[in-house]
Amino acid sequence: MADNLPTEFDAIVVGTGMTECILAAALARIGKNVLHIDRNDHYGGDWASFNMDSMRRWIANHRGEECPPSVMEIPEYSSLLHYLSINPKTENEEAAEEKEKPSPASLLLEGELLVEARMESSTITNVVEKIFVREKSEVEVSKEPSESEQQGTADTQQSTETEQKGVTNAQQTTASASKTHTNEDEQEPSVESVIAEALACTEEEMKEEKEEEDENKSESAMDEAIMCTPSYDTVPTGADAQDTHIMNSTSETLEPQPTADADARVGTEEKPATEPSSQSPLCDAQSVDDDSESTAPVADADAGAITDADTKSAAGSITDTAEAAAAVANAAASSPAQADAAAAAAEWTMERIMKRWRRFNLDLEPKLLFSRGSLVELLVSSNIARYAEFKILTQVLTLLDGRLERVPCSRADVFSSKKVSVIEKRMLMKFIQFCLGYENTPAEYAGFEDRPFSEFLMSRKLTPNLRHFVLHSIAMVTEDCPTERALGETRRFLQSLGRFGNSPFLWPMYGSGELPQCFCRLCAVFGGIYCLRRMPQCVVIDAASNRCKAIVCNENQRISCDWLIMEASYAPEQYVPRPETRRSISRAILITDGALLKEKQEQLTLMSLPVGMPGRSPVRLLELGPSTMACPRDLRIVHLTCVGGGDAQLDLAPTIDRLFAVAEPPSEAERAAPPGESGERETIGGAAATEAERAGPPGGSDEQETTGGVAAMEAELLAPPGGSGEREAASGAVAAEDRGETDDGKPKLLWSLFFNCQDTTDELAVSEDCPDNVVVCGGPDWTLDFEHSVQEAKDLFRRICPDEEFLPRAPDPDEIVFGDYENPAPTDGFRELATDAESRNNNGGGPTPAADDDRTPAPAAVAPPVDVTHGEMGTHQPDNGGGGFYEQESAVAKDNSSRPSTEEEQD
Amino acid sequence: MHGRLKVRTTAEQQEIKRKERAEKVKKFQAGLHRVFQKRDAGELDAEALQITAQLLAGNPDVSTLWNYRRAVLQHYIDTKSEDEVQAACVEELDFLESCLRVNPKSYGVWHHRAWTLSGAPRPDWTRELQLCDKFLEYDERNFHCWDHRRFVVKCSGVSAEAELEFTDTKISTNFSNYSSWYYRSKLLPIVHPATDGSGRVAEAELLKEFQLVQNAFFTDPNDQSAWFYHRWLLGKGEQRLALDCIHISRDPCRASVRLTKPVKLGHDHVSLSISVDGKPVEDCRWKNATRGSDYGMLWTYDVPRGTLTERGEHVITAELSSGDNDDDDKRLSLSCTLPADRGECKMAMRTSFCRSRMTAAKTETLTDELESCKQLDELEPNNKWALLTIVLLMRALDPLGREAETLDYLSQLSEVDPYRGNYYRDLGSKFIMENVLEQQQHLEDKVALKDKGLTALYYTEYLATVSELNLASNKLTNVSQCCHLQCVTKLILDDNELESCVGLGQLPLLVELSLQNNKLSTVDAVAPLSTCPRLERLDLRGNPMASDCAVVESVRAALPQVRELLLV
Repeated sequence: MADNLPTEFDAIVVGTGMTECILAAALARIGKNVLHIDRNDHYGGDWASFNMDSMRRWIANHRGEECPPSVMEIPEYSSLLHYLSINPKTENEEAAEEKEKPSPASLLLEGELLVEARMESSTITNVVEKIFVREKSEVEVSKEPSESEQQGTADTQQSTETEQKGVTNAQQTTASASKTHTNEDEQEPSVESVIAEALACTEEEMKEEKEEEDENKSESAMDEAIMCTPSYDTVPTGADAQDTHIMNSTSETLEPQPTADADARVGTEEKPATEPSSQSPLCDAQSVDDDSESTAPVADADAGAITDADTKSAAGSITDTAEAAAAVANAAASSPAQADAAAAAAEWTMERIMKRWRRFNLDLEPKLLFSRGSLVELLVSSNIARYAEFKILTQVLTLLDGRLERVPCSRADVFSSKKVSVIEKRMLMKFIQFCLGYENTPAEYAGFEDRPFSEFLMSRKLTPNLRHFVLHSIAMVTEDCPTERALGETRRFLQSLGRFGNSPFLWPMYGSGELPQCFCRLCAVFGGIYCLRRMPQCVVIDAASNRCKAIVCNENQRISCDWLIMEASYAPEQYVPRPETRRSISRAILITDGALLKEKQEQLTLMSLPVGMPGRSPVRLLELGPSTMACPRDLRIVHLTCVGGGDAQLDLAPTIDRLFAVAEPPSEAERAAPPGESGERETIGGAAATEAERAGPPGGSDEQETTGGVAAMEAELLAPPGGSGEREAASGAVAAEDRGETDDGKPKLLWSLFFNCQDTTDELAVSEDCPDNVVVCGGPDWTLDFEHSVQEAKDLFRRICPDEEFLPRAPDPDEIVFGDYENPAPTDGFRELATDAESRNNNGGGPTPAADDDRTPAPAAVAPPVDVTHGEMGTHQPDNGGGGFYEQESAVAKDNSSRPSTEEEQD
Repeated sequence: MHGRLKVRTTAEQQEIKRKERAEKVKKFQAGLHRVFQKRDAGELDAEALQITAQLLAGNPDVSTLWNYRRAVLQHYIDTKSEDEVQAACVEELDFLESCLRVNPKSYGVWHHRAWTLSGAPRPDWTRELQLCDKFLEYDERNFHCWDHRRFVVKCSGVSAEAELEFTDTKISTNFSNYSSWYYRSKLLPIVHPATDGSGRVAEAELLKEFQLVQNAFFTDPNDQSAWFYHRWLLGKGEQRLALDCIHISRDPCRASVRLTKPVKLGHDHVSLSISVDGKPVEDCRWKNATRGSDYGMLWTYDVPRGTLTERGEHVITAELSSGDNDDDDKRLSLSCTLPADRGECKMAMRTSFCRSRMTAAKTETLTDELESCKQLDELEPNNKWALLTIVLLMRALDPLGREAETLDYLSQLSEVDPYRGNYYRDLGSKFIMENVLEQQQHLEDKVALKDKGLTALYYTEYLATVSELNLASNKLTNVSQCCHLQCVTKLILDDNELESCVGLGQLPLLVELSLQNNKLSTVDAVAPLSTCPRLERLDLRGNPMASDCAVVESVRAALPQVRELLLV
C-alpha cells in the first residue's frame, strides 16, 4: 500500500467529479502531466453511481455507522476484488502505517508554509434509508438454504462445462461466420474479443453480468449489429425484441451462461422447462438454452420456460416456435402447482433485491444530457463519446388534473396525442416554432420580457392544457419565471428534440456517474495518473510568491505541481470560505415495483412536478428501467430532485405519496433492526406481505414481448384465474408491466433513500488569499444537465492554458501510430502501468488496419453518440480483432461497483 | 516525450486512403474481367457466384452481374435437388441482406431478392417480413422496402388487417410518409369495404381516417403527404365503365355513344357494337372525337347510308362489352328510338357531376372538417393546403350553394401560390362547368356559358348533343376540347384569348362560328376550320388578322365554304 506516486506533475486534480474530470482530460490532452486523485474509494465523488451494495455502504458511511460487510467479501466473490477498488484495510492498520510516516512539516523546504486542506466532505446530509419490504419472504425462508446451495454447486459445474463448450462454439461460429459473411467480419460483434473476454474472467457472476451488458451493448450498436444477423427475431418491435435479436448475433459466439439468479428459482422446479427445449433440434441447442436464460435474467419460476421459448425462436430458429411452445406446455403441465409458487416468489424482499445488487446503478446526482447541449457537443468534438453509451429519454410526463399524461413535445407526439384537440395541436406547434426562433421575432413578446412566463402564455391564447405543458414540462420553469428566460429554456428543450430521436434528452447507460469516468479514461490514455483514496492533507505554499508548490497527500508524500485544481469540498477553508447558507439539493432515490405509466415498452421518463409554493422550483422526477442498467428486471428506479428547504424527506415525501403506493409502517416491525441502528432508520415489513397475493403472472420480463402464438399460450397457461384479463395477447405483444402494481394502479414503493447534497456551485467564492495557481471548482449543481460543469471546466481551462485548444478531437485507435518507445520507461510503477495501457492498446484496438474499413467506419468515427438512441463507443469497437484495450477495459469499467477509468488501480 | 500518442496527419491518412482505393479499383476490374470471361464461356458454377458476390458487395448496382447471378441460380434450380437449391437460395438471401446493409436503396438488390424468394423452394416469409420491418425501422420512407413488403405480404398471405396496423405504427412515428399513406389507401378498401360494393371504404372507417389525417395536418400543415391522403379520402372513387349516352342522327347518318370513362376500343377487351331494329350492324368502325382511335369517352360511328330510312322509326341499341365486367349491368346496353319524322334522337343516363348523396354522419364529419380547416386558415393564414382543402370540402358538401365562396378561395389561392395560379383557375373553370352541367341535366339544345371566367373547358363530352353553345367573354386560350361538340351548329367564342382554332375542325354540323375579339393573327390559326363542311358564317372581327389584307385574302382562299366572312 505504501507505494509512492511520482513526485512532479504539471497539474494535480483533486476530486473526480464532472468538472474535475473534464479539466483533467483537457489538460492531459494537450500534453500536461496530470495526477488525478480522490479521497473516496470510488470515482465521481458526489456524482457517483453505485450498485446496491456500495450504495448501502455509502449510506452507512454517511450516517457515521460502521459499514456493513460487503457482499463482495463473501468468498465466492473474492476474485472480483481484483476489479473493485475496495479498501481491504482496516482503519487501525492505516493508522499504524501513518505513524511511521514523516510529518507533513518535515517535507517543507525553506520559505514554504503549509495550508491544511479540508479532510472531510460535508456536502451530504440527512441521509435516511427506508425499507418497505420484508427481509425475506416465507417461501424463501423455508426453502432457501438447501435449494440455493444445491443450485449454486450445480451452477458452478455447469458453468465450467459450458464455458469451455462456449469457447469452442465461438470458434466454430467464427469460422462459419467468416465463411458466410465474407465481407462483414468487422461487423460481427468481434468474436475473438468476446472469446478473450470469456477467458479473461472466469468468475461466473461476472459473465452473467457481462452477458447482460453485451445484450445491451448490442442493442445500442443496432446499426451495425442488427444487420449482420442472419435472421431476425420473431418480435418485430420493442426494445426487448431488439435485445434478444442482438443476442442472436452474439449468443452463439458468447460463452454460454450459467443459470441466472439462484433465488429466482426458489420454490419452483425449472428443469422440466429447460430440458424439453434443449432437446429441440437446434443447431446449437445447449448454448441457445443457456443464452436464453441469461438474456432474460428474470428466470423467475416458470418464466424461465417462456423466456426460453422466446429467445430460442428469436435465436434464429423461428420454425421452432411451435416446438418451443410445446415445451412450455409440457413444462406447465408437468408442474401444475407452479403458478402458486410463482406468485409467492414475486414478492420483493430485501434479500431478493440484494441478491441482484450488481444490477443496480444508483446515481447520487442523476443528470440528463440535452441532445444539443454543450456536453454532447463536447463528447462528440473530443471523440470521448466512444467511451459511453446512451439511451434516449422516451417520454416526458406531467401530472394534469391529478392524472399522468404524456406531454406532446415532438411533431410525432403532437400528431398522435389524443389529449389535445386539433386546434390545440396547431397552436402548440405554432408556439413551438415561434420559440425555436424567438430571438428573431422580438416583437412577438415585446412588453413581456421580464413579466412572468405564465402571463405571456395567456397572451398567446394557449389553452390551459397547453400552458401547463409548455410551462411545467417543456420550459420546466416556475410560473413567475421571466418570459425571456423561459423562452430560452423552452428553446433549449426544443432544439434538442429530434437529434437522436423523439425526445431532447439522452441518459447515459449505467448512470450519469459514468460520464466523469469517460473523461478520466481519455486523461489516462494521454498519460494521466489516477489514484483513489488519496487527498491532499496540506497544500504547500511558497510564502514569498503565495503560489502553490506542492501538496502533501494523506500518504504523507510531497508531490509538486504547477497547478492545483480542487473540488470545493477539498479546498482549504481559508481559500474557499463556506457561505453561511448554501443551496441544498434535496434528493430521493426510490426502488419501485413498476412503471408510473403503463406502457407496452419500457419507458425512460422525465417529469417536472410543480410544488405549488411560490418561488420553489419544481420537483424533477426521473424514472429509469432495467434497460438503462439502473436496476434488475421488473423494478424501476425513480430519482427525485429539487432545490428544497434543506430536508429532503420533508421536501419530497409529499410528491412520493402522490405518485406511489407507500405502505403504512407495520404495527410490529418484523425486521429486527440491526444493533446500533438509529431510530431514524425505518423498517417496514408486514404490509408487504399482504400484497403478496397479487394477481398477475410472474413470468416474462417487463418489456418482454412474445409472438402471438406463444403469448396466447403463455397467458392461458400461466395467468392465474382473474389475472389473465389484464393481459392483452391479441396484438401479439404482451405487456407484463401491469403486474406488480397495487389496486389503484400506482407502483409500489419498495425502498427509498433521502439525502441532501450541498450545491457547492452556489456562492462559490474564492478568497483573495488563494494562490493564483490554485483553482477551485464546484460539485454537482441542482440543474437537470451538465451544462454548468462543462462551462466551468472550459472557463477554468482557459484560465490555466489561455492559448491552448480545449479538448481537441482525440484520435481513433486506427489513427494512432505506435512504436515511439525510444525513451526507456521510467522506473516507477505508475509509468509502467501507463505504458502497459498503451501497449495493450497497441495490440488491440490499435492500428491493425481493418480489411475494409472505409466501407463501414466505426460509428464512433463518424459521429459518436449520434446514432439514434445511443452512441456506443470504445467498449464495442466493431473492428478490433483481439481482446485488446477496450474490451479489457469494458470488463473492468462495466463492473458496477468500481469503474476505474484505466489501470491505476493500486495494490 | 514518452507515452505520447503520435497522431497520423491528414496527409498520411489521405495517402493511405488513396492507395487503398487504387488497389480496390484494380481488384474490381480484374474481377469484372474474370466474370465476363466466365459468362462468355457459359460457366454457371459456384465460382461465378463467388466472384460476382465479391464485386456486388462493393457495388450492388451492376445489373449485368445480377443477371449473371440469376442465370447461375436458375441453372441450379433446373438441375439440382430441392435441398441444394434451398441452401443456395438461403445463402443468396443472406448475401443480399449484407448488400442491403451497404445500400438499402439499391434497385438491383431488392429486385434480385424478390426473384430469389420466388425461386426458393421453401421461402421463409416470416423472416422476410421481419427484414422489411427492420429496414423500415431504419428508414420508414424507403419505398424500395415498402415495395418489397407488399410483395412479401402478397406471397405469404399476411392479412390486410395486420398490414393496416403496421401502417398505423409507421404513421404515428412519422406521418410525413407517402408510402405509408398510400399503402393505407390500398388496404382500407380491402379491410373495410363499403357495403355498396363500390370498391370504396366503409363510411365509418372513412370518417375515422378523416380524423386521423386531420391530426396530421394540424400538426404540420405544410406537410403535403397528409393533404394528399385527405384528397384521396374525399375522392369519389373510380367510375365504373358503362354506357352513358347514345345519340342518333339521320343527317349525317351517324351514331354517337358516350361512355362513363375513357376507353380505347379494341383494347382491354372493350368493344362496342350497335344494332338497328334488333339487327346487329356488322363491322362498326368507331372513331373518337378527333377521328382517331385513341382513348376517349365519346365514340362515333358513321352509319352506312341505307341502314336508317329517311323517315321511318328505328330502335337503335348500343352494347358495350368489357372483359372486366362480370355482373350483368343493365347499362351495358342502351337503346333509343328514332321516331319517324325526326332527324335525331338521344338517350342519356343521369350523370352526377358532383358528389353523390351523403349520409348525415358523413355530412356532419365533413362540415366539422370544413370548420376546422377554416380555423386552420385563420391560425395559419395563406396556407395553400388548408385553402385548397376548404375548396375541396365545399365541393364535397354543397357544390352549387357554395360556388361563389369556392371561387373566392380559388382566387385567393392563385395569389398565395402564384406558381400554380393557372391550375387553380382551371380548377375553378372545372367546378363552374360541373355546376352548369349539374343544373342542366337534360341538356337544352342551347347552352350559355357566357362570362364565367373560364380558362379551360371541361366535360365537353357532355355537350356533345348541344346545338348552340355560347362561350363568349371567358378567358379561353385553347378550345381543343370543342372537338366533342359533334352536334353544334352555332358556336360563339367572342371575347376570349384564342390564338388558334385547333379543336374547331371536323365539327360536322357547325354552320355559324363567331370568334370576335380574339388573338387570331395568321391563316394557320383558322386553317382547321377548313374541315368543317357546313361552316357558312364566320365572324373574325376584332382579331389582329383582320387588319392585315394579305392574311384576309388567304383566309378567304383557305375557307372556300364560308359564305359570310365578317372581318371589319
